[in-house]
Amino acid sequence: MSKFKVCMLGAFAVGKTSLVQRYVHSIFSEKYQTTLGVKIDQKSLHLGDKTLEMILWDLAGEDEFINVRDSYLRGSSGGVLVADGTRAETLDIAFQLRDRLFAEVGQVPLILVINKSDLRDQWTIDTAQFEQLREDGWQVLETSARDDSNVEAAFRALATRLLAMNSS
Amino acid sequence: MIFKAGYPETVVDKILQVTLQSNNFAYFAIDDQGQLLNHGGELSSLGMPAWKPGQVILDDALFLSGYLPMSRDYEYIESWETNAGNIIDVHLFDDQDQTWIILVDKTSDREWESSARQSGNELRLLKQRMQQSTDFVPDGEPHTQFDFFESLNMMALVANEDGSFARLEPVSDRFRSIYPESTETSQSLYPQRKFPFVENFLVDAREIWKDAGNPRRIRSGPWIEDDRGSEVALEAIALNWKGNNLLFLEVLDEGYHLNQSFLQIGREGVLMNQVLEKEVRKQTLEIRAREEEIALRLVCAADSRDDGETGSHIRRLGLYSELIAKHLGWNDADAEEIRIAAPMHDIGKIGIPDHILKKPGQLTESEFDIMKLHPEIGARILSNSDSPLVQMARDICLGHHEKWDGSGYPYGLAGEKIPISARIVAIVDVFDALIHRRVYKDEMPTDKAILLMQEGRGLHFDPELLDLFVKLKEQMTEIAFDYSNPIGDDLNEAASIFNDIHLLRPKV
Repeated sequence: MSKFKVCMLGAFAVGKTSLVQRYVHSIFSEKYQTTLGVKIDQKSLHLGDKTLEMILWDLAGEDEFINVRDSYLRGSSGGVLVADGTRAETLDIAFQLRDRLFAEVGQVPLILVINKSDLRDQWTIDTAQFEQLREDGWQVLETSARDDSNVEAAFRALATRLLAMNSS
Repeated sequence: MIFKAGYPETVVDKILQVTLQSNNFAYFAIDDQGQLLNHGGELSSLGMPAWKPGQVILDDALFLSGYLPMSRDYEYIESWETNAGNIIDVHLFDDQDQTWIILVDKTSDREWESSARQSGNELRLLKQRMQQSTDFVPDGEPHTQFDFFESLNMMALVANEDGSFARLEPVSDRFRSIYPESTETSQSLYPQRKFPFVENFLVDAREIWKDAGNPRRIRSGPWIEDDRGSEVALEAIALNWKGNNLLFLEVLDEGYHLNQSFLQIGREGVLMNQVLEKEVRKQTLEIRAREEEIALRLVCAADSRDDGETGSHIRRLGLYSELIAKHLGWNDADAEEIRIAAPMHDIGKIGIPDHILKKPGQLTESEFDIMKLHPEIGARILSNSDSPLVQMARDICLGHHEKWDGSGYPYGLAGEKIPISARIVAIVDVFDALIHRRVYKDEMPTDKAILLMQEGRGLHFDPELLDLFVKLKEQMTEIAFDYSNPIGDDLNEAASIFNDIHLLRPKV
């Protein structure tokens, strides 16, 4: 079984931990609980006749208080960039972290997740730029950890890319 | 194995120092004569002198005056300023035959005091255990004569050459549940297999261990593991001590939760600020939209006396001007201001009599002299305002008939003496008038209008602004097209009401 280290990257309070909790443990908490440090979870999944295990590194969000240590990114096979649709600036932070990930491990498969689709009426993010990102080859998914919307699909989309990379 | 029976005292001192430094504590122990017995941590970083064991230090530690000999088990001296100007908090612990003193820096608060107190107690317990333990009891485990690491919530490991680790202590209750595999053997443990985080950290640790002479230690930062359904925070520390590659796994407990609480409070504050800022921005936009609507309605009503002006004309003027401003690099707020201010350019016509303003034929010279008063009338209407928007509107009113070569009115200003907002409006006002039909003339094709205007480059119009305007021709035409019909029944309604009132006015 292939194992892949996957980093959850994004600004603070975008829902990285909630996405992992929803995906791995099928739970969601309304209360915002900030992550200090790193929480590692594992999830096995089947794609066709292949099974893989994702080691999900849920890293503390980047902000003025905390910097993601580059050493945590070491050995990553892929990443989930998470932005909060209600906070447009979190998309920039996600892309900054993408650059740091690429600097550490080279170009690895990524997906971009715009979380909190249950609050779509409060989104400030410009969804028009998603089309451009998709044209540039990005896989962009709108998710809600609260509603369990697209969460599994997001991780499976990344898994598909990881397997494709592994077999190429 | 390096430690078969209890740690040498130097090891204990080293470990104590690591622990104390990492928590920003320092300590020293004195006897009842004030003679220094021992010390640890960075005393110098807290502004204390460089003492040596055996030295009587009471003269340097004046803050102890009156406290020794101690009458209670614990005393606390808050916010003492050292000779070096550092502010420290001091905790004194009576240890029967000697006194332990813990120093904490001024950044402390109640939680830190609690933490310091706890650390002080732990040190006391540790020392008591050191004194009480006189015999080594072989039990098949590598064993110290006191539960040093257990008291610090740590597991101490030394790296073997084959990549495994040997445990230096019996497994504490805490690690028994977090790391059950560690109970199976003391010699060949692989914490990196149990904890992927440690596997990652060992890459950095090996760099430290490579250099036997390097006294540096590194910390992994916290990571979180599951412990019987609840989360526990751990941190790994690697250091090289006299050629031994040591790895410590530490349960962080209170310190971690305290930091997490601070971070949570800080981040919730940031989030709250973001929400408030968003709300303020939203309300500002709403207020600005209302202001714009009021301005447009009033301007439209005033201009309605002039048959040539329409609601759509004044809207277009604002939009053309905003487009130019943005391409000049103005910020959004300023560009928005000219969009609202530009429509007020002819507000002074309210003071021009009907028989001149509405005269179908050409004006006589004296009539034109009166007509030329409208910029100043408008400027007077808009004067003495603190609002940047109204100030800009005043500049536009006063300057939109000035010409680049100084041949305009009312003051014959030339070049950059004419405010840029007025120079912009001068261009777009003429452009819009040329390409739209009025009762006294047909509309002109855009290209022809622009060619005509270019004849006024450097004469009537600011040459650079005119060049920019020409570059934006397509977008200007789009605006002209999008707002070509008498849009906004609301505005026209306002205009017609004003007209009705005006017609009822007795003619003088």
